[in-house]
Amino acid sequence: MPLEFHWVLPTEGDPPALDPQGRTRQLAHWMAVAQAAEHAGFNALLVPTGVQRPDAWLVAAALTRHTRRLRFIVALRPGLVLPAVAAQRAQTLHELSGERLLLSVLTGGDASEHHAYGDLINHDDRFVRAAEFLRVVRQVWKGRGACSGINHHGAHYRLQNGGLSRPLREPPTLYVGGASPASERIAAEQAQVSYGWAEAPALLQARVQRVAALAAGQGRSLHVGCRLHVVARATEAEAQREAGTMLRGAEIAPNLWPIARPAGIRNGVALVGSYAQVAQRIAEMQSLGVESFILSADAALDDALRFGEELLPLVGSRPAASKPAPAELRE
Amino acid sequence: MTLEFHWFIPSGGDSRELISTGPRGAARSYRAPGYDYLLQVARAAERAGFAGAMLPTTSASTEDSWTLAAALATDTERLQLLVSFVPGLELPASFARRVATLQQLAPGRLKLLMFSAGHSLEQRAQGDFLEHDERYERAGEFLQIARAVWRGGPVQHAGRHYLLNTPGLTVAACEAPPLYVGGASAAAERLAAAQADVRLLWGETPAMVRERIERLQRHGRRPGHALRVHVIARETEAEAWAQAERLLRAVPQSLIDAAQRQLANIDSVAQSRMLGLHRGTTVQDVRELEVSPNLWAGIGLVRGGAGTALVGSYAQVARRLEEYAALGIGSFILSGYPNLEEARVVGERVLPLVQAVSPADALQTA
Repeated sequence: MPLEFHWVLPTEGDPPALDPQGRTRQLAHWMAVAQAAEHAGFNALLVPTGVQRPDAWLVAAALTRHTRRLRFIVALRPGLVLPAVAAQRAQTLHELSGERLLLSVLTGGDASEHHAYGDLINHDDRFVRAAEFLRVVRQVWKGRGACSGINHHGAHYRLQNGGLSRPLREPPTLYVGGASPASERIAAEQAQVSYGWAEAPALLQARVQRVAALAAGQGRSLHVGCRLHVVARATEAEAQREAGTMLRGAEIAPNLWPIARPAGIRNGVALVGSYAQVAQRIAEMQSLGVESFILSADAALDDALRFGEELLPLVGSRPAASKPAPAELRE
Repeated sequence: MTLEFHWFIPSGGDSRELISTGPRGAARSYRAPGYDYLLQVARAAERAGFAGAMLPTTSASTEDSWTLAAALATDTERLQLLVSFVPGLELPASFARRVATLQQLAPGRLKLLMFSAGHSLEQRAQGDFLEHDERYERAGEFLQIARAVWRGGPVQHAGRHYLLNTPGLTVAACEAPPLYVGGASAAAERLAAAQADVRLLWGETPAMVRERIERLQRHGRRPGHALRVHVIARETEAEAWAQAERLLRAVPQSLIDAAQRQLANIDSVAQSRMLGLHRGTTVQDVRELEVSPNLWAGIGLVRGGAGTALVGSYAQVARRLEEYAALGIGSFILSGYPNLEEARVVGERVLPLVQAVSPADALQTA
């Protein structure tokens, strides 16, 4: 699999310090970010989901009309919508975009969106349900075949004589977000990419091996992805100044820092350093077996362009081919 | 009062024939609901002067109406999007957020068409196993929550079907779009009376429409009324009936029989009212199915949903639309076979002939 670099569209808007007027919460800005990401050579734009984020499907649908090559990773949390509906929605968006849809299924972790939207399932059941949700979605994509519909009777979902009337020709590549054992198991059974926040090299290496073993147990292979916030500038000192108060606590590994913002949102892990340093760290992660990088920055528009010029050329990324996804990602 | 005319986006496929059931179906002229085709229909409707266009409910054979609406809104200038949905397939707060997002993508261009119950077979295929009346009860609760979320404040709801306790979802707050409510059962009418801005009727005869409007008015609250009906309009009445005849003759009797068996199993009062418009399934003369002047029930022989067409010369169809308007219909959702070409015919030839009628005056003089 060639390296993949994806960009994140923060639909909740850039941090208030950068955007006091909320302009970055508007469609015109999202269009600019999508076009910048396409221009910069990113493979796909991740449209996230979250308590205070708009519907990712519709934002992606609108943005596909303003881009040609850029793919879209639509993030979804099982539990808000029935799987048959999600499967149809994916078909419509995949086809209307010229097969540019990828899906990121968030399996557990953050409960806040589930609770805020009235999905009161407990933590452990969420994983069980996510696995069943994905199974149903993938089954529905296969369509009805010649005569009989799909029947499903599981712990969380039932379906009687269901399935798309027209099977999905080439289902979207599935990403599963989350680094818990349960997430990794779901990815190993059903998805093409398992991704989570970046970690120290030793932990990352362990993750790559664990995921490979889990997938092998299923007779499958699975790619590992890293979610990374990036603060890269010409010099490390400049990048550190730029990162400012977003970083708290100790450096996890060279140039890798935990993000702890006062408001608690947009936390995670950041690479902070010169372009050369950040490229070096990414190359190290790649040598450990990470193939897919989902990058974000505080100023999504400016940094998409900046990284396209300064960073991506250093990490050997070429603009994505027009094929929807690398062939190796297919089951 | 100005009348509103909307067209139809055939997101389940389109055809020159009555049946376009897709690759396995009978139509020779089947047009797949690919986005490029649907966009052509939307643009044709916009150019022909329609205010908006309806997207049917999402199902296994119909594209997702929300995703389509987001894309179509981007690719058209002012066309309103009437997005159909059946509640119960997702959590109401998640629905409310999607509506708010679409309001943001297409400000002031969204209308919602709620088909409260759908029908059982379709619902089960999508994973919803509640029975008809319970689906209505749930729909009421669903709407209550959605409206509360749109208002933007904290929402605490503990009902039979949903629990929600949220401090307020800023991203889902928006102006509530106009809500059309379909369905003809007593439960549907109670719901429409309580919640609808506009109640949606299928193309029943003027006498039936009058009865339905009067019945709804007895509930006290007075929503507006909309009518969904197909149109076969030509220069002369003879040409229009010849076209109806051609549509009917292209359908083999075996398909009519099969469709009737299938439609009879649907637990929808609106559907059985459509079926009641025609008796039996063998037709000698196309006009046997003319159930009221220029109102033809032939489409209901082979298709579910709105099963009638206004058939006649441009002027006749315009007169019939005025008659419905006089009964209190303020908004029409029209369609034809195929929807691309017929959008122009109806928009350019029929609509300019329709004179606005004030329903209030008409009811007083009636």
